[in-house]
Amino acid sequence: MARADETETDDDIFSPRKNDAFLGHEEAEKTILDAWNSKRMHHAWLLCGPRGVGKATLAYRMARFILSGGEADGGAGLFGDSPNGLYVDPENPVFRRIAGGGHGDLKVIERKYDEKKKRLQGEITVDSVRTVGNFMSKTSAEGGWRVVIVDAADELNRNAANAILKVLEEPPANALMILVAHHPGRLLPTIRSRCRRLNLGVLEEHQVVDLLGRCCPDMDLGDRDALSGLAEGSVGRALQLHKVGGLELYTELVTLIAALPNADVAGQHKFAERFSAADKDASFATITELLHWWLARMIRFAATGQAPREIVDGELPAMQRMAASQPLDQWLEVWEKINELMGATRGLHLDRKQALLNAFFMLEETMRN
Amino acid sequence: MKLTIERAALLKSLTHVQSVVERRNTIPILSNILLRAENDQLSLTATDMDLEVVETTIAEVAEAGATTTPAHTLYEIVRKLPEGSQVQISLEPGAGRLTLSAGRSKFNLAVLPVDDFPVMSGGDLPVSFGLAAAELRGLIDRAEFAISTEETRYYLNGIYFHATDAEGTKILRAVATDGHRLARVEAPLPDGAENMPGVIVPRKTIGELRKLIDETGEAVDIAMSDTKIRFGFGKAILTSKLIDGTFPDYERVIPSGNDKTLDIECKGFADAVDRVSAISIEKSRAVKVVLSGTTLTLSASSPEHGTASEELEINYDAEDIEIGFNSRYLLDIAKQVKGDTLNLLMSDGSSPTILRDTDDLSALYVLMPMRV
Amino acid sequence: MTRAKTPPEKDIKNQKANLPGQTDAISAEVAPQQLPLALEMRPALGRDDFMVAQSNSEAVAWIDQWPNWPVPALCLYGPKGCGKSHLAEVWRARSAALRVMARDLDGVHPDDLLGDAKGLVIEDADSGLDETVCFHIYNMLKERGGHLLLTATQPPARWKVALPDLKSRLGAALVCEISPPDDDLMVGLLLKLFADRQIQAGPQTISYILPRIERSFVALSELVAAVDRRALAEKRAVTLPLVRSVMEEL
Repeated sequence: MARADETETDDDIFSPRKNDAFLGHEEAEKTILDAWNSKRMHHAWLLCGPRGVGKATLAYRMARFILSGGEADGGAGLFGDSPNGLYVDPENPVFRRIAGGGHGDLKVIERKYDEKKKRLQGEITVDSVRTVGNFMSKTSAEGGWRVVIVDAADELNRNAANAILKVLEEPPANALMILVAHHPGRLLPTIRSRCRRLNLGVLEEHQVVDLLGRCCPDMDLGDRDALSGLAEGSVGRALQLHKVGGLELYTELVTLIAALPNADVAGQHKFAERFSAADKDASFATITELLHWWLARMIRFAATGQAPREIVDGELPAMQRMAASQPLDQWLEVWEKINELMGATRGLHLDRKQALLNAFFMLEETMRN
Repeated sequence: MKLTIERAALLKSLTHVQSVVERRNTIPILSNILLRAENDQLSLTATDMDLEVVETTIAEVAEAGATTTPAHTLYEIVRKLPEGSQVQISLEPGAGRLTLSAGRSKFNLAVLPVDDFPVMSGGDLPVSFGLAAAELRGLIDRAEFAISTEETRYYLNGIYFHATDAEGTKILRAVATDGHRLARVEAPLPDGAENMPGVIVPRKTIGELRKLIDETGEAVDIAMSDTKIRFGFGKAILTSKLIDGTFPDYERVIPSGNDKTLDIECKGFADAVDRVSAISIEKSRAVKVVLSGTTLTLSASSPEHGTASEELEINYDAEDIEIGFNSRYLLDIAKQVKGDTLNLLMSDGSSPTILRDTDDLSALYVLMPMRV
Repeated sequence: MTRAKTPPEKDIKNQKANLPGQTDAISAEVAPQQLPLALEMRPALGRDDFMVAQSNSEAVAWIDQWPNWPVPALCLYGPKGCGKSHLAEVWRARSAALRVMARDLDGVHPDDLLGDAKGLVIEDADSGLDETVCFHIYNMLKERGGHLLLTATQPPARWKVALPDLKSRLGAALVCEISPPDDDLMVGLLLKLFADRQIQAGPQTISYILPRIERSFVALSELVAAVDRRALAEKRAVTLPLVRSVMEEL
């Protein structure tokens, strides 16, 4: 499932820049550490995987580890053993400077905030990448390595990607490039071929629950559990859902769907109304995805007979009722139509309330036929 | 942190350091300067991540401490305070605001933790030596104009300083080139600089350095490694990254066989070049120089504006020669000449010409001609 | 000064502009052109900078094998600029050998030349060689347990060697051909040639150049030098349009 929305800002508690919690990718971490310990650190790494599983967090973890001298606080033994983890203590000055954006040997390339449009730019442009050339042409500020993080490489536009490629081809000594990619298949093949690739898979549910607990200590276990079910192994997505009240939205959505074919028209109106306002981009994107996801699970359930995990009570019977009312190909068609409708609504800025009401109506009609 | 300082002293230090801080910064900590009060001194640190300036000034420190606050805001405030006022600065622990007051004005400024502030002072600087400020100024001033601004050749975007031997004398050399002209300036090698690595000091650092030299009449303490350089001016310290590249083998472009020599009164020559070039098109600004017997003819033309020429009387006994130059480059070099006479040592119209101030052989300029 | 032929319109313009008696002012129809300084980078000649590909892998293997050579002499031959001198330099640095151009051997005393060195590189050995001197050097090195490395464009069998003793020694030498570059090597060489000049050339530039250039080391290095010169003269970055215009003129 793609991330609902792109409004993540630096103030997020879970911003990878500031986050020391990291779970579930021990293999990847070990690979990096082995390369470092054997003094054969590849100059460019490509961290691939779905959104929200910790790729950027790992990138910053690598940066902190290397910029603090490659002697992890957590692991260095008393007898000068090699470090065994990339962990750096949040109180370490290097951690602090990286978190504050004030480390002279770390350059982060990400989408810029457009002051006029009040949102992040859609892509990373070539002027951002040019600063890497300047950064690499100077010696290090603190006397060690220089690290560049590209978050994310998928967002580089064509010229920016070519500019990155130039740096990848002629890397200076003691310089490390870390590229994060959600869809590595879309990168220039020449970029892929010049990087050492690490694939980060989705997290286990209990890991998402654990990570949620670390960053939102006030959230109760039931909510964490439910959110991790919705997030399908992406803690980033769980947090994003949490931010826009995704769990409540989902519960209401399921209640409205479960009532079908006896539509709760007043309830539907009240529900759909809240996405009308212009500043509800994020929540509308979320509800679109949740609806899409719920139907996909219903269809999968009907096709395979394997019951998905029940996140909200009463979900499974609702799915069963819906699936039993019409053949599967009908539901596939409806699912596709709803996706189209929602996509058009977002792309062409159509009436969101109307789009949602239409979607409910399509479901109702299909069940009645 | 709690201190009192004279507005004039604070403003002077702020003026020096705030120019380093870039105005458009998306990362808050990089818009800030670091204030540190201790031992009856206030030090102000500013950085753009490529270089750092620390300036120390006297203050009445009631309580030591440190914080960071937006540089340009602080500068604007202090600038607008009445002359002669006493400025009180304090930071209550946990308050999250810096309080600044003078007379009946009071300001609260946002702060960020000192630990987030960039550090440039780490790492050993194994080579250190002293150099007279005038000597350093001379090296920079005569080489700076030739620094390249074209970023592909990033290794030319600075002045290359290195120690070498010239006819048995140990010297410190500053070299800059943009590929069209080259400046090579020398000074006696200071004690302690024998083992200095060759370093390329970036253009922006040279600019900041130049401002600081003007403020001091004394010796400059220089310390460096192969990745960093520091200039100490007593109250101010400038630390900078270096350019991580190899400076080209510049000695190979300094010709040794040029045989046509001309001594010419510099000011008169420069004025004539300036007049004649007024006609030529903006971009190339070419002037042609023809030397024949006792006459030097300068000429230029432009399809839009017409033609111009001027003759100067000279003392020249070598073979006749025609050679074209970018007039701006000629004027740049003439500007470096403090004596009366400029010497040109030429070969032909397509080979490099050497130019020198006959009163000052410590600087040498190489200029490539234009094909005209 | 030369006055180039120009299109008629421009001529009219110039006639208007050129006042009588000032014909030796700069001709306006040819834009004056700034010449660049010949700033050279020292080429990187370390072993790590040497590109190994199929066309030179045998030669590299022998250099890396030293001092375990079965005979005292190794001859590397191949076209101009194929990397013979680079490899020879790698070996010279490794073995603390001396280096001499074949033409400088004329009449020198082998003792004076060698001193107590145990290795020597003779470059361009097929461009005329003082055979007697060369023969003595071979023998001296052999006695010392040292080694001789020769570079040439042709294999020793085709050199015009008159001295039978030398001929037989050369016949017994290890002979290694470095052939014209294959594709991998062309890419690697281009990147290295640009990198020697601290220029970063983009992938589009490289893939533009490859199919359009003669498969020789000389052609590559001439192109890179020309591109560098042009970029410096015009103070421009090395971009595809710049490379294209340089190639069109070459």
